[in-house]
This record gives sequence, C-alpha cells and structure tokens, in this order.
Amino acid sequence: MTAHQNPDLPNSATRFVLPPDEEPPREACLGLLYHLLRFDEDPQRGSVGDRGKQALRRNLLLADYARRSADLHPLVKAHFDRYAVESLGAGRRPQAWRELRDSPQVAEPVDVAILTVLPEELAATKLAFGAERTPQPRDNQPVYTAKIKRAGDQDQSFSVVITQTAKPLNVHTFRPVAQILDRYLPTIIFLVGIAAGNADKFAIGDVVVPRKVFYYEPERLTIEGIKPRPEHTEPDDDYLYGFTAYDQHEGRFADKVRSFFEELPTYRRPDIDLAEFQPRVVSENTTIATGERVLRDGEYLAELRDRFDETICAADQESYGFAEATRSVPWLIFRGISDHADPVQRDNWKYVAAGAAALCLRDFLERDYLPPDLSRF
Amino acid sequence: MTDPNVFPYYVQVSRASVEPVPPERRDTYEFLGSRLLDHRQVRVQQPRDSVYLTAEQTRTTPGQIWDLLKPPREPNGRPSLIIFDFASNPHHLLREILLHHIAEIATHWLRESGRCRIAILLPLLPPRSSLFWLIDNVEGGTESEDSRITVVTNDGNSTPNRLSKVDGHDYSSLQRPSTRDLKERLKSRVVRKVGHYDFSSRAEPHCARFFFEIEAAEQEIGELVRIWAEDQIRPHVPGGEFTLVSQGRESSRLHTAVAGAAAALGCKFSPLDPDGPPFRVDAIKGVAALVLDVVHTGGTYEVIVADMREQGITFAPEALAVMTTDRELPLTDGLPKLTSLCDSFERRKMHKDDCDQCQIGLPPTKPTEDGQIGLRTFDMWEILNKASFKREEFGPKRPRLPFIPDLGEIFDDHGAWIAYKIGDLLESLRIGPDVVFVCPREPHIERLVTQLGVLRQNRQLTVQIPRPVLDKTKLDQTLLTTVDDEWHRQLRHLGQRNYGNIVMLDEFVISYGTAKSIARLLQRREFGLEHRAYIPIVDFSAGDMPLPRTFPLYRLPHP
Repeated sequence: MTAHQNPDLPNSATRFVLPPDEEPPREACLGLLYHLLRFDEDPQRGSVGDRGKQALRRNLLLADYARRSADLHPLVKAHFDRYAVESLGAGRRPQAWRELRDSPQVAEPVDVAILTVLPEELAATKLAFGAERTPQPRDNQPVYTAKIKRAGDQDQSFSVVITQTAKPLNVHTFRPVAQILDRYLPTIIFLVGIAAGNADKFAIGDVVVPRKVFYYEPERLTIEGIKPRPEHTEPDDDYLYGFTAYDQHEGRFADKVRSFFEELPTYRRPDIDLAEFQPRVVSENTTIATGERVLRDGEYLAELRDRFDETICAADQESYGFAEATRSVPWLIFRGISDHADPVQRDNWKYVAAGAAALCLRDFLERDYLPPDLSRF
Repeated sequence: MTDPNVFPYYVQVSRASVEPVPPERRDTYEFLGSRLLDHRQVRVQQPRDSVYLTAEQTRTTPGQIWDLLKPPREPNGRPSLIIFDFASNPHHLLREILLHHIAEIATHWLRESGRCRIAILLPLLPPRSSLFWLIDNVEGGTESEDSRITVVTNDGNSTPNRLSKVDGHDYSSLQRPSTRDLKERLKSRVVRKVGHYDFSSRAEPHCARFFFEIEAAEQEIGELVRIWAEDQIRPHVPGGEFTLVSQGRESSRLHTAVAGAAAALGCKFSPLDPDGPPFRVDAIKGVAALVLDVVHTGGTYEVIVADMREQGITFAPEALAVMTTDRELPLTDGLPKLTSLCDSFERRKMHKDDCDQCQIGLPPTKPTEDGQIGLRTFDMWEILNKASFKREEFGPKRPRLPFIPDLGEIFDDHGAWIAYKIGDLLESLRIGPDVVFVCPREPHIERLVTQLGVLRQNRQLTVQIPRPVLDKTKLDQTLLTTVDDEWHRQLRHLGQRNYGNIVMLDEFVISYGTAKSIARLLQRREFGLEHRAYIPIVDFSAGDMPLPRTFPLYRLPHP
C-alpha cells in the first residue's frame, strides 16, 4: 500500500511514498563525490579485517552515489561519473575534489519552454505570461521564467521558461533550442511569434497554429531548371496535445487580445478601430511554409500554395529549423499574423500579433493542454 | 513501635500510559511522612508505576480518577499518611473539575479511615474560590492545627502551616533541581545540529559546521534565568527594579522562558526580536537585564547595547547568554559583563576560503530551518567515515550483513541531532507530541530513545520489546508467559484506549524482519494496535519498502 492509497495519512505525507529524500540529487552527489575523492584508503595498511571494512565502506559510498546520480541530468551525470571513476584509481589526483564546484549546473526541469525570435516577440510573450528574468546561462541566452495555473484546478500549475534566438532564420534556432532542452528538460516546447499570412485566409492579428510545416528551400539545380525537394514535418500527436479541442470562444480569446491591445503604450499600438478588431485562431487545414526569405512581394506565398499544397497559408523563417532542433521533444507553433507577405509596412503589428499568439498559447495551456508525459502531473 | 506507613499515589494527567515512578520521589515522601506523622522513621510503600489519566479522560471524564485511586489496606489503629502526588503536573492541566474530584476522594477516605492523614501535593495552590477547597468541610478543614489534611505546593507552602519555614524551604529544594543539575540538564538539551552554516561577521564572512539549538531547554533556561536575576541582578540595581529583556531571532521558546522567569520574579519583561515589532522604550522599568540566546562573536550584542543606550536605556551590570560559541569574545569595555549558562560550544568555524563545502559548491543550511528532514549526504558520510564498522551485535539470530556502522557510537555523538530530526519528521507527518515509541529492547536504540526523552521532556512513552519475543515465529507460546512483562502491560493499556500515535523505531532496517515482527505484534488481538510510522534511522535495504509508512532518515542500499 502506498501513501497515496492510505487515507490515514495526511496529505502532506503523500510525498513520503519514498523516504524524505529531499536533498536535490546534484547536492547529494557533490557530497558523495567529495567523500569518494577524499577516501583515505591505503590497502597496505591494517589487517585484512580493516581492509575489508574499508572496502565495504567505499562500496557503500559507491552504491549511494549510484542511487543518487540516477536522477541527475545526463550532462551532469556524465561529468560526475568521471570523478567517481577517478576516485577508484590509483592515479587519483589529490585536489580533484576542488573541481567539483565547476561542474555543469542544470536548472530544475520545466513543463513548458517557449522560443521566440524577434525582440517584439520576446517582449510580448514575457508580458502575456508575466515572466521574470533568471540568471543567465553561460552563453548569455536570455531566459525568463513564469508559472501559470490550470483554469479550474489551482493545484495544477505549469512552469514555463521563455527564451530567444540570437538571430532569425532556421539555422539559428538549433543552438538556443538545444540549450533550453538540455538545461530545462521541458516536456514540450513552443515556437511563438509572428508570420506572414495569406490575405484570403487571415486578417491581421489572427493566430495560426499550423498542422504542418513545409520547408520550401531545398532544391536541385539542373540544366533543365530548378527541381524542388521540399521537406515536411508535423507534430507527432494528431490531437496536437489537446489543441484540436481548443475552443477560442470559451476562453474569450478575442477579448483577451483586445484587453492586451488596450493596455499597450501608444508607441506600440497600431492605428485601428478596436471595436472592429476580432482576432481568430485558425488551425485546421493549415500549413506554414518556412524558408530563408522574408516574403514581401505579395505573390510568393500564393505561388507556394498553388504549386505545392493548398493548405499553405502562412510563412516564416524559423518553423522548420525549430521543429528539427527539438530532437523528438513534443512541439507546436503559434504564430500571429502581422502582415500579408506584401509590401505594406505594418511594424506596430509585430508586437500585437506576437502578443495574440502568446495569449492564445497561454489560454490553451490553462484550459485544454494535455501534457505528453502524464506521469509528471 | 512499628514505623508508620506512607502510601503515595503518583498521579499524572494527560499521559498515554503508565510510567515508572521516579525513584527520587521517595525522598519527598519520606520527608513529608516524617514531618506530618511526627515520626523520625517512616515506611514508604513506594509504588512502581504511576496512576494516570489520558488527555481525553482529563478533559471529558476526570471522574474516572475514582476508579484509579484505591484506598490502601492498612490495619486499624495504625497512623499512616496517604499522599496524592500531583506535584509533577503542569498547573493548567489540573482543571477545576479534577481538583473537585480529588477533594471529594480525600474527604471520603478521611471519613472511612479514623487514623490516616492525607497530604495533597500540588504545583500551585488553587484560588480560594476553587471547588478544591471542599476539603475544608472535613473536620477541622485545612485551617485547623488538628487538621488531618495538608496541601503542599512546590514552593514549600503548606496549608495549614504544618511545615515550618525551614521545612518548607527544604521541601521546595527537594522539588527543585539544583543549579548544577539544571545546567547539566540544559546542556543535555542543547542540540548540536550538523550542517553548513553561513555566518557573516563584521570582520570576515565565515562558515560553521555546527549550529546549536536551545529550544528544548525552555524549562531549564527559565529557572536558571530566575536564579541569575534573583542572585546577580536584583541586589545590584537601584531599588531592585529591573526588566528582563530577551533577545533571540525567532527564539519564541527563549522569550517564553524569560517571560516565565519574569513572572516568578515579579518584574517586567520585554522581548527583543529583530524580526518582530519595534522595541518600545517605555516597556523598560528600572534597568534592562539582557538575556541572549546564543552569542557567537559578540557583534550583535554590542549593536543591541549601543542601540538601546541611544534610546536612553540603562543596563544592569551583567547580561546573560544561554550559551556562547567562540572562546575569544572580542568584547569592548563599557558593555555589561557577559556570563553564560553553558560552557562554550565549538562551532568549528572557518573562513569561507577554507570551507570544503563552499569549495565544492554546496549551498548553506539555514540555522533555524534545515529545509530537508532527511540527513544530508555530506553530513551522513562524515559521520559514517568516523564511525567504527562492526559485525551485527543485535538483531535477528542470523546476521544479514558482514559489517555495519556502529550506530550506538553515532547515537552517542549525534543522538541529540538525530532525535531532533525525528521530531521534525513526526511534525511533518502531523504525529502529535503524545507519541508512543515501540522499539526492540537493544542497547543502541535505547541510547537514541534516551536522547528523544531528553529533548521531548520525557513526554513520550517508550515500549521496548525483548528480542526473543520478536524472534519467535510462533508468538502465542511466548506471549502466554509474558503477560506480566512491562511491554505487555503497556501495549494492553494502549490497546484498551485504542491509541493511535504509535511510531515504530529502530536503528536500521535491512530485511524488514524486525519491523514486520513488531507490526504483527501490535496487531495481535490482545492489543489491536496499528503503527502510524516506522522510522529506521538508516535503511540498508534495496528496492521497495514492504512495510507501509516507512520513513528512514537516510537510505543507503547495501551492495
């Protein structure tokens, strides 16, 4: 019988299904490695009994380390294991234990990670989630943390980290995504920001959560001409981790975006009639086309749609790189439509559209999101 | 002529089960017997066990005391003294209705027996309006010199004045431990917590390996502060007027102890809590007599004195620290002389650059909240590396491991801290203060249980089960011959009350054989008990814990 099943135990004791092992694994292993590396064992000294006891003592230390290190982040474990192995050898360095302080640090695993690209996207997403700054990782990648609660269940909450790429384009998403995944072990990661949208399908300020990503850049140049070799990807889960059940009206998504808009300082606010601003969320039969081009000619997006896939309705420069970089961690993309891939300048809409995408994501997380790893909740 | 008999009844309220009568009570009974019976030698029929009322009985059915107190069998014609000894109970637990029952029992017995006298020992005299004074209805009451009933309080007062002033003083001394005893008890209740304590001083930042917790010594501190103020402050301040000022960060027990001392002294009291409301100058009457919890470098002490002097407060020539931790106290002139109740304790202080735990990046431990309940690996392994490893001396017949750490040694060195951790664990599991520990009767675990008793003011009850009982595969035969053993009686009493706060305790667990035996024993029909928690200090087993509600302080799977 476990503590969870025993009605006699107070709720505070349910965490004691296992012993009160509250020491974080990293700290526990630091202590164990210290004792291993300073283990004063001279196999030549003392009687067989003494040597036997010393060997037993060290075996106990190693068994303790083996148990505690199982919960370490793989990076940290690999680093620590080297010291554990060194402690066994005759060539153990006397001061090796002083290097333990410089071992890699990994923050607590989080539930949700969010990647943004442009400064407006990062700012709008931080605001939508009420995020705070955290200490910088070594390479100065900015990381902000937030916590949001499940609607109707205040006991369930999600920890969120938000970060940004250093530059736009698919190729520059790999490193920040890898850093976030390694450091925070998120259950799911989202790309949030802006995209160009087909004018037939989207109004400015709408949000697209595409079912597929179409990478249009790969092609082969032949004497007959250019032969396209596009690539596709899509989320692993057909239900999009609960998004197929998302009802934008139930959570009053449009009202939230209008409130967000109203609270903006003047310099961030596009000149529109708020009463006519009715942002929508569109996901069904949507594909986002990704390449290395900023589409501003008013034609190319439609050409991609006509040439390859009628569901192509939006375009950006990061979705495919992002999806590939996630290394099988679940992902989704939330993009606010900030322009129609045409020459019209709509700079102020970047912030609002990114905010709409972030608010849509938050609304979804609070109400309909189904975490891929249910054992964590 | 045959020496007269003294029949004491040692009564405790709000207790879980019978407890042995402290042997030193005999001195009190002999003293009273000789004085009240006017006979040099008396024969004390010292009881083995206490008479007790549980907390629930004390609250709801105190009349059950009638069933528990049976008159002694004494041949007619022989004078005797019956003593109802309630002296060791906190005054506030002797509720009005219980006092009324005591008075009625005393009155009834006096009527039934022609030659006995009765002495009722109480911590304090009840107010004159109390129903207790029903005893005055006895012929002569308590006012007459011929009265057969005497009430004596812990401070030596008696009514009627049956005890002379000298006898009253001697009686109160018997009730009160000596200053030396108090200091020894205080010292035994100081918990040396092991960790990584981050301290900053004016000179340089440093760490300490130990932190000293004094919260379990509230009673001793209160009494020692009272004695110190009476002897060292009152005679040396103008008009004998002073205010006790206690200083301690989050030391609510220190404040309570000093407040109690102030009440006993009849002086004012003012707490000085850095995290509490601002200090009020008008709270001081006369001079300020400062009492501090723990003084490390003396830096805080200097700042406090300077701040208070700035507000116009005058200090007594002496200040008191419950304990100091650094021998070289850099005190400046002009401060009240600082004395300490305990000898200096070693904190193992070091500069941060020399601190190994800082070197490897371990975070500091907070002194007043350790955060985790289990033992830290760094601390546990420092302890294990110093401990001897021996063959299993106790436990089941077949040893399960070749060598194990000598936990008896570990309990001697760190027992108070481990007991403190157990207290934290019980609190986190919401297992109240009236806990009953059930453990094997073995020397190592007895040492830990002794420490638990010291810290918990002996409020817990311990039931120790002999190893042969636990080792028997068929318990029926063994139990038939053990019904008079103390453990059996204790478990029966607990079972009759359906007692719930039972915690199994052991030094370590390997195969869970002992734990399962104890659990099965508790569940037997004659007891019908269930454990709320099983606490092995170290869990050497690998894999899942087969016994529910197991909470080791440290898990160390034996390879």
